[in-house]
Amino acid sequence: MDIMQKLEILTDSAKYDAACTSSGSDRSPVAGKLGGTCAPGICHSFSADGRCISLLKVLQSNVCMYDCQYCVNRRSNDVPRASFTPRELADLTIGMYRRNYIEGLFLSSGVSGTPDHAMEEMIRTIRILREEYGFRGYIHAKAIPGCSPEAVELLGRLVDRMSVNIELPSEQGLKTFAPAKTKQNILAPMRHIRDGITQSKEELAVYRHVPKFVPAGQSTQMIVGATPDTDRQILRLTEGLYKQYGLKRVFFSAYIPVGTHALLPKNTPPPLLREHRLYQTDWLLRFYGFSVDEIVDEEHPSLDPFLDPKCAWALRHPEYFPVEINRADKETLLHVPGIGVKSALRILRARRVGALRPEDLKKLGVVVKRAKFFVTCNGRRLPDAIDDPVIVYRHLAELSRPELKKAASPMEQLTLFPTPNLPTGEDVMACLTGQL
Amino acid sequence: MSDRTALMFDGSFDGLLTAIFEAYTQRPMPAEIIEPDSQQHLGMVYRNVRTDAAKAARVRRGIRTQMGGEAYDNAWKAFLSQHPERGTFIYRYVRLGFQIKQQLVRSLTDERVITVNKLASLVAREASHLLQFVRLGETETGVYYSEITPTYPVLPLIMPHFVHRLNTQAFVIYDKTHKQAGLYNGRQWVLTDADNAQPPAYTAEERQYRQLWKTFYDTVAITERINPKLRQQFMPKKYWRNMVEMTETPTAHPALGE
Repeated sequence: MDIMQKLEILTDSAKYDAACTSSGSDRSPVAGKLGGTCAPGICHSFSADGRCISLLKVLQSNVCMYDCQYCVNRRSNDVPRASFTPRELADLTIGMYRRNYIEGLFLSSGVSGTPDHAMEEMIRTIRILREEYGFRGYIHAKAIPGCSPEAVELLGRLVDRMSVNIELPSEQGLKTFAPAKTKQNILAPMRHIRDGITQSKEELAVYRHVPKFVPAGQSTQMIVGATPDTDRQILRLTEGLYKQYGLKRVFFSAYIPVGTHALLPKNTPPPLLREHRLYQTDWLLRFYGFSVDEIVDEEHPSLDPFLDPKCAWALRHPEYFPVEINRADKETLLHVPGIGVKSALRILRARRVGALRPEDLKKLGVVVKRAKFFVTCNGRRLPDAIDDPVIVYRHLAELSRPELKKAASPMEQLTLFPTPNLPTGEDVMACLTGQL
Repeated sequence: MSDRTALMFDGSFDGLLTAIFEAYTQRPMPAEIIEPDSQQHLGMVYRNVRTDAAKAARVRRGIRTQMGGEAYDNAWKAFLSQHPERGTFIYRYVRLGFQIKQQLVRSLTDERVITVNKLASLVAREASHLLQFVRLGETETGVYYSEITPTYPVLPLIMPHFVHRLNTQAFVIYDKTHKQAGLYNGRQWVLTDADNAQPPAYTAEERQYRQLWKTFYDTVAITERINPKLRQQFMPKKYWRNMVEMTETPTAHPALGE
């Protein structure tokens, strides 16, 4: 089989993984060595689905002994199989890097034989890159569930980022669809990576030249919409992973019906809007100082499809508003719809020179059509700010879903807006969260 | 009514900095600083300024020490926007800066600051797009070659990035729009005017890599999520003509039987 066919098969097998960022590592280039990384990462292309292409995302091999029902590479699925030799894949990575196609390699693998055997092949590839080519670009590798701590330790010294996929947001889901994987053998390598990172930081405080362990941190991904888990369960799990496992990123992947198991959804479009709302919430957790309990609770376990989560939060918390632009601290500003991280920083900067007026907000990059309902400038409300929460809700919903504007009558418009879809009782399913 | 005066510089950044230096020697200070291509106004008296490296250096140092490196960067990037009124815009920005010093970069609601920042951010955006979308190809001489057609002449902003990370290979990035080339020989880089770059002869391996990259690009997209609008939002169409994955003819997909 030629390299073109292998590339096609092993890309097709890897494409459902959501993570493709090259961020979190800042390794300046060195004369005589190829490559470097920069902290925010670089997206080198965007595929027809609008997703970023930053790394060469392939599997070492898609031969797999597992039969995970949600996975396109499951043993029982009839797809062509292939494996890269470490040399082939290392050369391919270097060739693409030299042409500025990619920031580096994102490597995972199916499991043929033992998990450690799969890890060994990946490690051989990455060693050629790092040791033979002196490659200083970005490498993200998956730790295979069930692999040994020694393999994690070895791989962790070679890569920038490591990840172990949670796969499904609940233990029940795993039992049903991935009987060979358990919560334990997913969480164990995550713990190894976490502890390795902590230890590496301590070492670095003492010795300057030890190789860093997973300097860009660890990430994970879970599939959304294959199991009946609620947004709240998913988000609490996410928060737990950030807090207790020190993860850098949690990725969500809208389930694409690739499986045939009776309990999996079939012929459904991927829940892209839901995935989008989860990512918006994830940003609120990581950069805006929100906690999950502020955004979803037992009574409202689902994110509002019609509103972004910050607007939805703001409408439920009128007591928080209006926020005074000239006095509020950073975190308070970040809670205002229409104010992002950049515009909050600009507000803090600009008001050191002089008091800000309503007409200044637009110049600072504030999205005034959202923010106008929630702020004052030296006590002055903004022009056409409205207090009636129902009307504000409609305005904000139209901004995030312009198609709603087309609805014929105001009555029809009103009925379009949901009372959020609440499941009658909390799902019995025990979310992994509670136990983390 | 007495005639107002304006200074005219030669179109170089040092020329503009020299003109700013000269402006401070005149009373009243000139209203505008323009360049040969700019529109001239009736009733305005124009005086040519001869570029002087020493004077330019003093203004450069003055901006950096009194207003900060960020202010200097903004002025430099705004200059690269080639806006017909860039001279006057930057002159007003710098004048304000000599009055309010470090407060300049915080005065985000002042029109003079907004104007310069806006131009600077257009240029910075183009530069960061090119760090993403430049594609290099290996030629028969062993030198890697890339052609770009940016709106702004951003080679001085992007060359250092590529020189650092690709320091083990010689390469040329040719800006076809502005007839400029960034040349790196494996040790140092220079910026040079180049009327016409030779159409490169690519290696056989290069042709193979273009096909491999195209195959990867087409395969990695998820059919159920196709979203051309989203793609175009992140990757503006104007860059496509120089990108392998957007110009290469797709290969057949024998491996997947499609």
